[in-house]
Amino acid sequence: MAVLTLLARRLAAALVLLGVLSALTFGLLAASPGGPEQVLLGSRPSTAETRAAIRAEYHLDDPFPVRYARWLGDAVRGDFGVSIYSREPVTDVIADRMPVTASLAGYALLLTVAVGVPLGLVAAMRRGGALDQGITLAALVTLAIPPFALSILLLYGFAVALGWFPVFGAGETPLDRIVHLTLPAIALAGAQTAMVVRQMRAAALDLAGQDFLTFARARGLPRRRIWLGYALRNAALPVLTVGGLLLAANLTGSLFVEQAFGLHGLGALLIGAIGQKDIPVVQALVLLGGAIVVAVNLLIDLAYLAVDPRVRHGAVTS
Amino acid sequence: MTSPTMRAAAAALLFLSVTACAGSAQKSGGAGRDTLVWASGAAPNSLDIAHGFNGASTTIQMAVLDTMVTLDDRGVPAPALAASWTQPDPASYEFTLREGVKFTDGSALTADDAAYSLRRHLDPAVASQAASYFTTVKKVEAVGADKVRVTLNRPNPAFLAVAAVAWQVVPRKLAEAHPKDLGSPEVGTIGTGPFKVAKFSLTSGTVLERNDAYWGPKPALRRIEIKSITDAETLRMAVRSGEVDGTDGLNARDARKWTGLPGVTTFFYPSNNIAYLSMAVGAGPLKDVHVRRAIAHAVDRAALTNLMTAGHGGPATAMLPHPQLTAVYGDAVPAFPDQPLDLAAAKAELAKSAYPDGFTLSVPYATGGDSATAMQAVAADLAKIGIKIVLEPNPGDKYMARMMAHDRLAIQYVDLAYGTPDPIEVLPDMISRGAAEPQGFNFSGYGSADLDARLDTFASATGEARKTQLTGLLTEIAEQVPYVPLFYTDNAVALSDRFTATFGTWRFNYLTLVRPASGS
Repeated sequence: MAVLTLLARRLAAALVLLGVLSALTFGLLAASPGGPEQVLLGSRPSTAETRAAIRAEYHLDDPFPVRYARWLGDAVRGDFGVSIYSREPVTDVIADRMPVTASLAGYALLLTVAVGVPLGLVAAMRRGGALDQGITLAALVTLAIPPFALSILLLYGFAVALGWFPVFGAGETPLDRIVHLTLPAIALAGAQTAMVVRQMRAAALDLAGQDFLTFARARGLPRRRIWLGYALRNAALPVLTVGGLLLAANLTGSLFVEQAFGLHGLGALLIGAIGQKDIPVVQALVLLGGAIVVAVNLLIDLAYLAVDPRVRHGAVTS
Repeated sequence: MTSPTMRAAAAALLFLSVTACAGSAQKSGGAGRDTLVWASGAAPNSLDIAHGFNGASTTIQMAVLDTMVTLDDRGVPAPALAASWTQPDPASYEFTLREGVKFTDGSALTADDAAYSLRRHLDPAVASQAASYFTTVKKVEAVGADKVRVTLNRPNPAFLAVAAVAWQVVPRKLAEAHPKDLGSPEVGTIGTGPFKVAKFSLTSGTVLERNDAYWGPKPALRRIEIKSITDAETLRMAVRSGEVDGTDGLNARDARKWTGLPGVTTFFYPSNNIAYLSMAVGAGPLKDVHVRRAIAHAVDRAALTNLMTAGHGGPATAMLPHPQLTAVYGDAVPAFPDQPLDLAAAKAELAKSAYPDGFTLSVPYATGGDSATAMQAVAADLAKIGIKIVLEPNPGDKYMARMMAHDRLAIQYVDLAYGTPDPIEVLPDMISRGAAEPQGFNFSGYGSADLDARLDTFASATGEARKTQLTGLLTEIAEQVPYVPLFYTDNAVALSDRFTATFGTWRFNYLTLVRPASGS
């Protein structure tokens, strides 16, 4: 029941948020100089008849509230319009690119968690030792390298010099895709892994002095069991939070990496669409981004309930 | 735009780009010697010139769709889908279709298809980007099974040249059913050309396959995979690693980065373009012709040419792309009045103006592109005669929007490329009053009723009269200096040594020119 209430509340908040987002985006695009005419006319001389036909067709002379209301009315009915640039339905444009960005984001998150969580735990277990210092230093350095710079380094090293990986593109078959997305995923995961390492280490250290760990040790449980069964589970909350936010960030903000690796994902699409004033595409992408953030946060909260009995208990009693 | 945006845009006017890349990153060249993996620097958006008149898109259109006529190596109209044509009177043409041509869906090409393919560009509902090419077309009709008659409002010697670029022939049934989205990834297109579209996706690229039923010479390539890579450095690495066999996504200025790549040859050939400074003559100091002449004398064009083309281009001496000058005059291009680099003469001109001690002018430019580089050089040159240019940075799209709106124009750096050998494609854009309105390309605002009348006369003139008219117009521009011609740039194409090609200014269809190198 409590879960249902939580869901209902979140859903209502999400609707309000998306409404505000869409109005803001629409307004900002309308206020910025230029319009979709540039894309529609091309960069060539145009005739007055063509310009008039385009203004009429896209209602460019209507006042802003009328245009927004028209867009909103269609969007509420599930019609997000047709891309001005490619003349495809916006839903198709996004569906076409979603798999690339989703695989990249998922792959990067997998790397982040698979590398970041164990390293953070090990660092905490060996607190102050050479291993801890090494891991902490490596994390600091990685954190300082921006993803686009790491992209170029990886491209030169592993794609051009060694030739192990392709330079660009997303691949066609599943295996092909893994090969193509490995370098971009590493570029995206680098700094994020460093964050997770530090988060994990700090969370685990907080726990180190807790009574239940002392008691577990007193019972003579093996170290591995103590760290994995007790510490990891208790340290999971903050890491879950960070991991979820990273996933949302990857889905909506991997544009530098996409650009560097010639990937036609959502990030590259958003940049292009803003430049072209392709309003239907920008609106749909912003809404999608908002929806992803809301959904991921909701999933994180639900995961809290699953992982931590104290939260579950609190949610039910409150 | 002047810069990357305009250049890209301009490329639209042009057919510069290409696309390509391989989908699956096989090393060393795709699947076989007759498969080309090509990359463009921008993504194509439509396989219909009405909505995709830009370098990346038009390059693919040219491989898939035939035009009624084409241009030969010298830029002279030559038969294509029309086997021949006559001109019953100066303002009409009658084309006779080639026999036995079929679209790649198996249907036969008819005169009705050909006529509709031109007529649709006149329909405001289509809002064709090629409409401005065909403003003199009054009527297009199929006469009999194999003849198409085109009637113009008035004689237009440039008609065949623009038809060679934009009169792409598609099945009427298909075009009529899709006025807005013909050529989109969903609808695609059908042509009679040397290649057919096996796949067209904005995301994963385009695949062309040889049309075995093609009426002309059999293309050397069986398959072309085309991808787009927008990041210049990634594109270079893709060519270097062998994942991509060829690209036109490089500019002459960066040639040094490309000419050293092992196993890759970079081809240069004259582009139908011109870079120039436009000066808004409507108000302020630029209204004074002495100020404009002083500026022309003060700009070091040789240094600027070198800076912007790295040796792959040359200084411009008249306000037309060089290939258009030679198309009209042959090798006997007249010497037009010029303002050579001469600071003393510049100062003397300035002394005759209302601003003998110079002035300060705020000049917008687009950040991150050619216009930033060029305008900094120009500002340094003008400082020497007391003209202080305050450079005002703008993001590329904002600058483009502002320029096309003719908002606070001052001195603009512009680099435009064109599609045809005919000066009538350029001059009305530069000096007609109609083009001085927002969305027009007359950024100087220079124009008069007399000039418009002379442009009209020139548009219909033929033979020697045409040369005389053109010389008069170019001379007036050179004397009044609403524009300072700067330089021409070569087009550049990088190609793996496993392939070769002979490129030329008028050979728009360059995907079909590429062939496996012998012995590779």
